Amino acid sequence: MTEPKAKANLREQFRNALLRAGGEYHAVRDLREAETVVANILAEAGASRIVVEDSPITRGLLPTSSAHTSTLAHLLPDKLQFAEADAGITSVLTGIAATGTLVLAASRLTPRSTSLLPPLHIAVLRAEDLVATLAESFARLATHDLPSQIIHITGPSRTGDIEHDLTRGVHGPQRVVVICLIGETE
Amino acid sequence: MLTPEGSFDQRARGALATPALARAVRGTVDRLRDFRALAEIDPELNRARRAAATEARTRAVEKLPELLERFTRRCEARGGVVHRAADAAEATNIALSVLRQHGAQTVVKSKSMVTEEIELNAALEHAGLEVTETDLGEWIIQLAHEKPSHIILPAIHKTRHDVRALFEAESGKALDASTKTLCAYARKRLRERFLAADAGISGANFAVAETGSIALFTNEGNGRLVTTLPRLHIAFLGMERLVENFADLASMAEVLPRAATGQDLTSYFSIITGPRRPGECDGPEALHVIILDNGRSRLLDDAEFKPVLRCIRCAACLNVCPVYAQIGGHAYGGTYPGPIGAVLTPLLRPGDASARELANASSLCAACSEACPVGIPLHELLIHQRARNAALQPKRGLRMALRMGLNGVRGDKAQGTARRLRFASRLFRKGTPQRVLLTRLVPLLARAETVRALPDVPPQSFRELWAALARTEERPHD
Repeated sequence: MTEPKAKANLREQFRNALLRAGGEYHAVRDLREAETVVANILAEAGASRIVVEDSPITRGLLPTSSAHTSTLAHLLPDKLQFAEADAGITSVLTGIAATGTLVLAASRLTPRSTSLLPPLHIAVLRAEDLVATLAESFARLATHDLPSQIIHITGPSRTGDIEHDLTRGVHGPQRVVVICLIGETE
Repeated sequence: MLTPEGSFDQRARGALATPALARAVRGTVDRLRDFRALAEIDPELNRARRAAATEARTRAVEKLPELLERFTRRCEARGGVVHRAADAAEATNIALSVLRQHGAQTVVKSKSMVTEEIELNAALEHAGLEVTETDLGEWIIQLAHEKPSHIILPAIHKTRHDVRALFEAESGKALDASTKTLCAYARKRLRERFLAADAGISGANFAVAETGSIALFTNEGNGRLVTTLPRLHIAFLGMERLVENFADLASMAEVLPRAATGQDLTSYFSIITGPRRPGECDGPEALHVIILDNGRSRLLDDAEFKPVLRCIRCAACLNVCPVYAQIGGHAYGGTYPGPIGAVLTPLLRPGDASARELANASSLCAACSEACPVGIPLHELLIHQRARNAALQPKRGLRMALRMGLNGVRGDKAQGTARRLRFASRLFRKGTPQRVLLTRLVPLLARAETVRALPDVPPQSFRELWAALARTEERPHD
């Protein structure tokens, strides 16, 4: 298999697994296109208070229109403000194609709450950060210096605790939207 | 410790007299069983996954003392504090002193079977703390003042109408019985508790010796909230739940969600290594891990029952057990129901005669052993348990009865016995006046028939059928 074809397969596998888990998927060419897609998602969801992670690929997505108030996540003074946000935008360390999983690590600039407290989580994933399996994702971690928390997210929050009737968003986000940055070259 | 009422026999009868219970439980376990079958549909892949997981767990149990020591060192190097508790009382006392030390008054909890085992909530409430279970099923059970009746679906025996009644009593407001409304209510109400709580208490699916991390597999997100928002995090860990390294943890992630709910991976899988680092704006400031023995280390020296320490509490054995499907979890009278509970409960409570009865809560059909992703021969362990129980019984009468019974079918006498048996069962076929008379004369038989009917004798025996079939085969083709 040629390399671009293998990469496209990995993306396809990731997308299918993510959709199976109840997530949503958008592929974009560049950050400018990502900005438009994100703005549309936020407008459709009626989200006005946005928390954005301060990373090179999400910083630019800070919505500028007057319909939103947006804040950089690590600058929020307390958890109540995370809880009041309508959407959280994060970057992603790795995507796992086999299960449609997003891997995020807690750090000073990437707080845990951005992907947890708001009902809508938008994650920006660079296609080159996709790996096939969890074991491959683990192999990329420096186990001698792990972050305080690594979180693997596979679709939205769910429960089957009442009559095993699947319900989304019981404690975590109701929606997980992945924006996959494919890049210009492919 | 839970003191269940009556014997296992009485509790099981009580459960059987409540048909709504079997209906609620049966539908759900059947669905879970089918989801698992779908997730494990590729036999080769499934065998490979199970083999890797079984190897990792077996090795971990073999090296347990060493792994515990390594985990403790690594976890403390990352700023965690590790405690070892010999029994329930010690574990609750450690938790209480840590909570007091941090001035914690309000506690949010995520699901943890170990804290059920030591009845932590009662101890914390007795000490004046406010404890809220935040897993939806656990919260339902807490509001109902009950025990979980399934390892991963604690409120499996409750209907949505039961849940509505509990939530209406809690809120003082009218709610409809749709799961959407009920879940939305729980989200709103419990969110307030999360944001206000001083401490979070969680379980841990696994601890990784290599890195000093604990791993949590959850779906609702309450596990993340419990380990993110409060300033103190206390994690409870059964002492056998160690894995050596990240490769083994990956093996666990391959089997646990598939066996438990039929998911390829749970919605959330967190790996926590120490408390928050300097400069991080969320996560707990302190992390304490309480490792509970409570009878487990005794099993390390018990060659027969040691395999039970491999258990990863996926509950797959509950979902395939015909006995569990009929009686639900409460009838088992312990923390752990189903086949794993029937094996584990008497081992954790060696002095408790009523726990030993659980060995009989099985038809020995072996569906549990087949469902187990880490190869625990559950039905064989139940037979070992029965043998141990029998060894405690006075033997003389039993031996004589066995000798008489076995002599009857030994060697060349077998055919004659079979013939007599067939004659007798034809004579006493259901509906005949002789049968009615017999059940009147032998009351024990009448009682037995309320549980299991004597099978009717087919008009032709297997030998007769075989002979007829052989004659047909011999006939030349037309």
